[in-house]
Amino acid sequence: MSTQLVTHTPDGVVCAALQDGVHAGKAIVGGTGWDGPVTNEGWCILDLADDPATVRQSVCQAMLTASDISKVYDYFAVTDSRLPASAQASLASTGRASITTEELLAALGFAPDWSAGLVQSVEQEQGTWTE
Amino acid sequence: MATVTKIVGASDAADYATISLWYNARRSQPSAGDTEVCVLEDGDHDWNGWQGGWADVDLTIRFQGQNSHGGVWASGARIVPSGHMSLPSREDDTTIEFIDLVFDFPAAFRPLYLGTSSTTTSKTINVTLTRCLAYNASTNSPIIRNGNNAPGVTNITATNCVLEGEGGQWYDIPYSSSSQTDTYVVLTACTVRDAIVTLQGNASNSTSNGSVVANGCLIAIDSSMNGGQMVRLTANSYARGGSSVDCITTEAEATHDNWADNSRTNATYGVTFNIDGSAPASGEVSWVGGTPPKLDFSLVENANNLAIGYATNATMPSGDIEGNVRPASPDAGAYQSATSVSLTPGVGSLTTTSLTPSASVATVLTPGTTALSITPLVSTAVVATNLTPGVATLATTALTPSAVATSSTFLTPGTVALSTTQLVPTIGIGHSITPGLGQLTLSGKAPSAVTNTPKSVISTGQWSSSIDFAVGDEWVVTIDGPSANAPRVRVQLLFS
Repeated sequence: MSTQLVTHTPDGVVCAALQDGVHAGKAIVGGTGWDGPVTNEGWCILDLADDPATVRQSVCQAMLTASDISKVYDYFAVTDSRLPASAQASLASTGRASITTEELLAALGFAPDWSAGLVQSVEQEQGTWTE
Repeated sequence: MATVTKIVGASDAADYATISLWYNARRSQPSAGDTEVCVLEDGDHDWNGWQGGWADVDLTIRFQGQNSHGGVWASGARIVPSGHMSLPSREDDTTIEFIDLVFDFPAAFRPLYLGTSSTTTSKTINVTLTRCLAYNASTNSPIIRNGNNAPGVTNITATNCVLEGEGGQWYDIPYSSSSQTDTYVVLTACTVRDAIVTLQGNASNSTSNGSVVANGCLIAIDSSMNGGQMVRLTANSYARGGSSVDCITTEAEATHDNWADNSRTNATYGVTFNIDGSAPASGEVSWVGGTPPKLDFSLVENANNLAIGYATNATMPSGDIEGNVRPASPDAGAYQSATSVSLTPGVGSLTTTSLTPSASVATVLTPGTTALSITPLVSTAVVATNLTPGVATLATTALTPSAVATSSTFLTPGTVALSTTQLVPTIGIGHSITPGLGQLTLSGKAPSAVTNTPKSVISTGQWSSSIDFAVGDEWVVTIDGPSANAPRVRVQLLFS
């Protein structure tokens, strides 16, 4: 089970982490297949081999002091220029690129208005912050 | 003032797979006065998300189920959140609408959190729930939390909704030392079970106000929860101006009046609510129920059920949570029972006997035509309902005899017998219906006969003859002469 990490310009904010086989929506992916090229409306999809829970936990451990939280979207953003050159080329041509979780973490930062402290506060309030 | 509608769901027809994707696509698009509509396909949706990036303009955001849930918890578009949905720091008027949705909340903090910054600019926040089923398993977290601590008004409106909980609040405002927001909650045609409204204001801020208005609601609060009272009052000036019309409640009169202190019309207090589908005793309310939570809150069809036909004063919506039409005297609560709605039109029948003309002479009769018409039988009911009157049409031909005779004749018109039975709708318990009247018009033609008028010639010539007759003699008169056309001759003999 793999993961589609959907980001949106201009900041590369992660907007969703979908399982493979889930169609991101026809406004994001053209054609009928879920794995088709991405429409040119600021969307990018990063295809990861790990499942969504593993990706989320990996991000938590890299960016926060938690082992898990409720979601990986909203809080984080991907800087395309820090991805491997081949991924950047693929994103430029189709809007999709296959990368490893390590490559994702190397390009990941907090989204605008968010910090580790804010994420912790929100997640703790709703009881989804796992040490 | 544009309205932009997008579909969110798992199908290939959806524009976006998740609410978060929809938000990120739309957040920078609205202008002042616009409405952003998020249509949710059937199935579970997670509203866990931070929506602080909406263009800060006067904005309406509408979440709407693509299909009706039909009043069933497991159907339709369901909000099953893994976290809360936050709209923080808004400086403009904001309206959030939820239509035809099911909220299924766990025992955790998962609310819609509306927040504004603490500016001094007055603003209005509206949250409306229409035809929603809402269950909240949490005892300390609401479904909607109003974090507006700027001056202004917050209106929370629920219509045709089920609000079920475990004693926690479904709506609240957090305690804030700077809160100046007035909060007005209006419940119309709602079913409330163990779900609380918390009107919480800062006791030091006497300018804040709030109230709860309930129209045509069923309110069942366990005595162990908030003292059995639907509204939690924790501040000095809250819950003033509230009212209760056509409500049935488990609350004691004093408890109910504690929040509905300005106007109480047709309220029944201390009522027993049955949740096991049993037939209610007189003055009780019975829901179809089931095993808690997420009960079936449709009403048990029973004439004893107090909720049926109870809302005679409140202004109720035209339909219920399932979209069923409410009659003139609707039921209290979110579900309209079929007992006072279902009208089965009767069946009308019409028979005729044929027209059989008779004549006193043997002659050829050509059947004429008779026009027969009947106006539709229109049933009228004393309850407003979606009964569509049937239309009866009838046409027939019959005999209008005409005759051609060679001599005077006498024709007797035939007769037609026509009868109808009325359309008699059947109706449920507690209501009456007045059958409409059918009008029947029959027009026909009287038989006509044509006879030849005898021609008459009176001769003035004089001639005489005499002869003596004996009894039993016969006599003959012979008229002789040319007769090209063989006229008939009548001879008149006068005997003196």
